[in-house]
Amino acid sequence: MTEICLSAKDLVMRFGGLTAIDTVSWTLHKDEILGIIGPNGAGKTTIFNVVSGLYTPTSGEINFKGTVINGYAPHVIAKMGIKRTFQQSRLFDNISVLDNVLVGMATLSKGILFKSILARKRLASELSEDIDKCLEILSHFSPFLAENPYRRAGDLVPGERRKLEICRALASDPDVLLLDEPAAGMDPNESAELMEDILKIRELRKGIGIILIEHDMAVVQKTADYNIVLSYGKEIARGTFLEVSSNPLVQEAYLGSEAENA
Amino acid sequence: MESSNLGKNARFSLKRGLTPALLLVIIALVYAIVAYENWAVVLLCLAAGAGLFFAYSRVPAVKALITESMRTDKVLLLVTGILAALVIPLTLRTQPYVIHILIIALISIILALGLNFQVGSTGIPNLGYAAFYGVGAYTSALLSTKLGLSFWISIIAAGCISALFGWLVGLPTLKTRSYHMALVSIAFGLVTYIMLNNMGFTGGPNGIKNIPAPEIFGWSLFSSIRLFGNTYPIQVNFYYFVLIFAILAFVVSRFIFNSKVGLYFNAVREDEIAAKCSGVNTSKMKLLAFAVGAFLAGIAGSLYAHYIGYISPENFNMNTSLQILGMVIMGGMDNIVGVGIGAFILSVAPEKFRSLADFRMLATGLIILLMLIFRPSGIVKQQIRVYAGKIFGKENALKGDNHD
Repeated sequence: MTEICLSAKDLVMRFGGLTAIDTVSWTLHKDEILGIIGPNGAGKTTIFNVVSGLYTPTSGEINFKGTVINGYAPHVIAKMGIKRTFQQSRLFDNISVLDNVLVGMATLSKGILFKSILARKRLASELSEDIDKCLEILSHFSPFLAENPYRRAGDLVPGERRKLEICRALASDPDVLLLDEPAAGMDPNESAELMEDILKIRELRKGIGIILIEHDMAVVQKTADYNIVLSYGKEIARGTFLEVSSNPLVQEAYLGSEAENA
Repeated sequence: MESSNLGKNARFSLKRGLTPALLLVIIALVYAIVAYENWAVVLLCLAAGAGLFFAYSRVPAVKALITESMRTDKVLLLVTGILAALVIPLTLRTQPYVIHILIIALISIILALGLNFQVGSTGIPNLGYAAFYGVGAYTSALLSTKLGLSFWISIIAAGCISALFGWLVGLPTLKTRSYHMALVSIAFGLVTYIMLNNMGFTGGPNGIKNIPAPEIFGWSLFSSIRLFGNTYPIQVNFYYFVLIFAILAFVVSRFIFNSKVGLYFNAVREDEIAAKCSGVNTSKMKLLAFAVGAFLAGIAGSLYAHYIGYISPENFNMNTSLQILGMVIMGGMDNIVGVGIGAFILSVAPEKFRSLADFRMLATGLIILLMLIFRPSGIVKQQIRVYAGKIFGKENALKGDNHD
């Protein structure tokens, strides 16, 4: 069995009377892709918000490389090595493609104010290295972005936006990558390309663990090694895609029960 | 073969001198507008300036030529600008009031550069910026009048205390966003104004009088220089003095803007949550923007206090805050050159309209309105950062530049 990189135990997230996540647990191993699926409102994105530090879980614990990271600030969690993308890709629209990826490397830079005024030579050489690294990442996922690094991020088409977001998240070489519905709004060709990209991440970054939230069943089927199915915040099934897709509870959650349909 | 080569060279050299020559023309026009009282001259120069401006913004060929020339002639352009800035006050020996306007413009540039870090780069709507300006001015004035400290200690203390104040103001705004943040900043501006008005040691509404002039190695800036048999007004001394600070402020702002600090400021402005999840400590960046902006305001406040020699709370009210905000928005948010130009125009314009008496703010308002109609994103727009030595074909860089 490979090493565990991120695990959650009995995670609960409540907003007032609403329980968005109800005692969910999982373990993510290195080089593994974990799929989280479930109908709308099942609490999938809430899980990401909790793991990335935007929400503090009501109870339960998230364990990352031996540290319980509940309640850590998002930038600290990012620095530790957990990066994410967003459902509606949240790029920095008014800055360039290159700058977006450079911000993704924020966790690696130190003492920038001091250097910006008093150690400008060192800063310039560091920046130059960083830019080369950004361009390399971009070239793996999209030759177009690598050739147009000064394009305004807000002018990109949705497919390129998604790729840029993945590049931004990968820029700091994270140990865990959280992908929030990367195939949302994509046509079959684009999602096929996306599947390749996701598998490519695993090839390029040895030892990375990926959690994938997805609606597009084809994407989950092709990429995820293991799946958890959520419905109303509760786990209703887990296993390989074949196992969960044949589970009657899962079918009921997606299609409704026979009694309701009748 | 040879002749075509020659032709190319000639064209090349024509391009080389183009922007510095243009800059001289613009400086001459601005000089005439600022220095001449005759309205016919002023209007003529304004019309010429507007003509140049429209040629630049409406004829693509002219724009391309100037952009190209600006890229190759950076050093020459800078030298021309600085030389002009150095020579101009010497020609205004008999018009100290015009030099006074220029000094106020320079101080405004420092102020606007500071506010730009908050409003332009980081997207913090600060409507109480004059409070930082006031804290700097009062700190410096009190230290030098009550404790008798030298100007140099006072101005550094003014910058630092103002930065500390900015940091403190920043803390409660961390929890707020957009309109709420603007409200918090207004509240702080008002609180500071009221405190300055009501506390004993600040002199209340009477302010502080007799603030001593700065001294350089025992030589007071209030003593006029005699050069080649001409006596120059003391404003000339101050002009050069403030010019040094303005250039320093500009250089430091540029350093910060071009570094990753500036980039992370932008990330906070664009999308705070995405910035956080990318690993940017957004609270720290916002506090830094407050502190850096307030530091510059403190320096500007100290310069103002020691130049005018008298300050009162009225100099630092809401009106001042809005005026500086106008400079940043009109000049071009997040563009240091644009902000400088905006600050210059909006500090000179009210002085030029002094003859209109009560209507002068109306005229200033009209200028802002016209600018916002013709250049809605500021005189010089926010640019895509292009890194030195990292050019990927000219088309790409240009595509990034122009976004109408």
